[in-house]
Amino acid sequence: MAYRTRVSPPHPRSPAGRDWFRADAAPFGAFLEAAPDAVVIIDSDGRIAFVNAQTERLFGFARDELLGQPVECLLPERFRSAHTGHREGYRSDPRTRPMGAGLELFGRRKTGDEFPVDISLSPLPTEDGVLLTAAIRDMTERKRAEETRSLLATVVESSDDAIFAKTIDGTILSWNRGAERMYGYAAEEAIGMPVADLAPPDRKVETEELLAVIARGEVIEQFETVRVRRDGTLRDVSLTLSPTRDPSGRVIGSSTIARDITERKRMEAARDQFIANAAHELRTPLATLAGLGEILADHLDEMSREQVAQSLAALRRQGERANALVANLLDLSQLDGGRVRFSFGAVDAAVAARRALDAAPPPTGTEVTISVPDGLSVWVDPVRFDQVLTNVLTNAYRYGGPKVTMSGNGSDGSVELALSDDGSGVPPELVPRLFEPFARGSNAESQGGSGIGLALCRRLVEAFGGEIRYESAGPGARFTIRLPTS
Amino acid sequence: MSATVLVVEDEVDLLFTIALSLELNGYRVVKAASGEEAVDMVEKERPDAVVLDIRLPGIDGWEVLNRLRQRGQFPATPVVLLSAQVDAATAARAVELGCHAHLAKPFSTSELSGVLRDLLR
Repeated sequence: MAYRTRVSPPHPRSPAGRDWFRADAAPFGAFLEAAPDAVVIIDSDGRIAFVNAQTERLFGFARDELLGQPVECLLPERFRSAHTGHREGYRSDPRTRPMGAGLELFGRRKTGDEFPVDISLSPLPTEDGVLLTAAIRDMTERKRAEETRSLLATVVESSDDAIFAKTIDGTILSWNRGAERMYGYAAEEAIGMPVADLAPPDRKVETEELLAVIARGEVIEQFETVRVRRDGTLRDVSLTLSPTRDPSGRVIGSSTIARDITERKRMEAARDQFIANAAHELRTPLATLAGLGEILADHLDEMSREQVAQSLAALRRQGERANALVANLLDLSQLDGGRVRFSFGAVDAAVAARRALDAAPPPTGTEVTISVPDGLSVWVDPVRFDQVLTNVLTNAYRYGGPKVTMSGNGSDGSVELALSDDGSGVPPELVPRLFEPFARGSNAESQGGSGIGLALCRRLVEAFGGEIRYESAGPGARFTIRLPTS
Repeated sequence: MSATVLVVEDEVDLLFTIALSLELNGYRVVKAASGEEAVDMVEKERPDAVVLDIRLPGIDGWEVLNRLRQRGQFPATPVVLLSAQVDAATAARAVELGCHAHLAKPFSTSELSGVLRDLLR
């Protein structure tokens, strides 16, 4: 405050005083004139004694329009009367301080526009009394930046992805709620922790490598890897890492966006397994079709009539099997994709059972008894219901015993149909996944099924609002289908 | 006298197809539809070669190989493995167990005959 000693006693409103503060009048004036903030000096009556060039630019008034005016002309009208009181208060205890600490302050331009400001007040003792200097800084840009920053912070906090920052050597600096959820560490625990702690032991080296790439200023996008949670469980994650830089452009750390892709990976694996199973199921009929085609083409003349007849029968069976598999696969995929339209209607269960038996007659040696009482009406899609019944019948022919019985009874708004046989039942290890696609028992390979008949049955019965379940019935198998009545 | 080949395959129609193709190529064929049956047939029939599916109900093709090896009949008797796919792991295991050939389904019946002809030469 070297200039304070040089203050002579001007009367702010006197022409001499104005001259004293004129930019060209003294080094002191030139200094204020060049200040980046708007500087306003106010006399003990609260009238403007001096403004610098930045004040004119900021508020849009010419200097002459301001000098001698109450300082309140630079405030929005709603603050003016209160301000007069504050000013009186300040005069009784003048010291250098920011104005309105903790409050949002606004200036008002000549045009009436308001803008956010930051104001520092300092007393300026003169022989005439204490003047007041106000340095006013336009906060418009700063406020805008703060708003942007706060918006970004909200986005980061509310993101499901883990978002965190770390130093160039991998020390964690920030940690959002997504990161807390994904990794199981609270922000207080994670901040200060080396990022390598998030990698399982066999991937510690990988975090070093990633940090090295970042240090070179490169961005890493959607890097799929494995990370370990606080509780030790592993998650599949996709990482996007970007270097953070200081104002000179030097890399000082990095930000990480981590997405948990465990579920996606699981679904991909399930899909791959499904496709592999479907291909496998198709291979067996195709091996027979291709083999017999080749044999008939190369050896027809040498073959006995019986060999030819057996070959043609096998061709037909395996052709039908491949066909059924493809049809079932499509049905299953359409059901899973919700693309099947059902047209519901009342169906007599006994009639449907007899119709299914006609469509899927038992092979030689198997005997089917239907003891479903007439008049049990169920509310289903008739065509799809036939498909369910023929599938469970065919399943019993393939894997069950020679005596197959379908019975039925109704109670409490639902009808139960039971299909039992006197075979060896479903192998116990298969029961838990019996209704999953391609679940097969140790006795199933030779039987020529598609591997998805029961999976399809369950999807359909559930679409009807019913339930299909399996239970062991003595040595044999028993499938129960419960359906809503009409 | 024609060579005897044991075909082990649980899919009835595929067993018929392989057997028919080998018969038409001049082999005497004996059939087994499970691993247990295969082990018995090797004892009883002393085949000159075995065509063995890996995926079998009960004891699978690998176990059949193990048991044949324990009884000293293998690797003296050539074995052609049949599997749904020939991936690296399956192939490595087949080699390790001393299999002579390995075909993936669906395979050509003439290819199988060719492989057997080479093995029995």
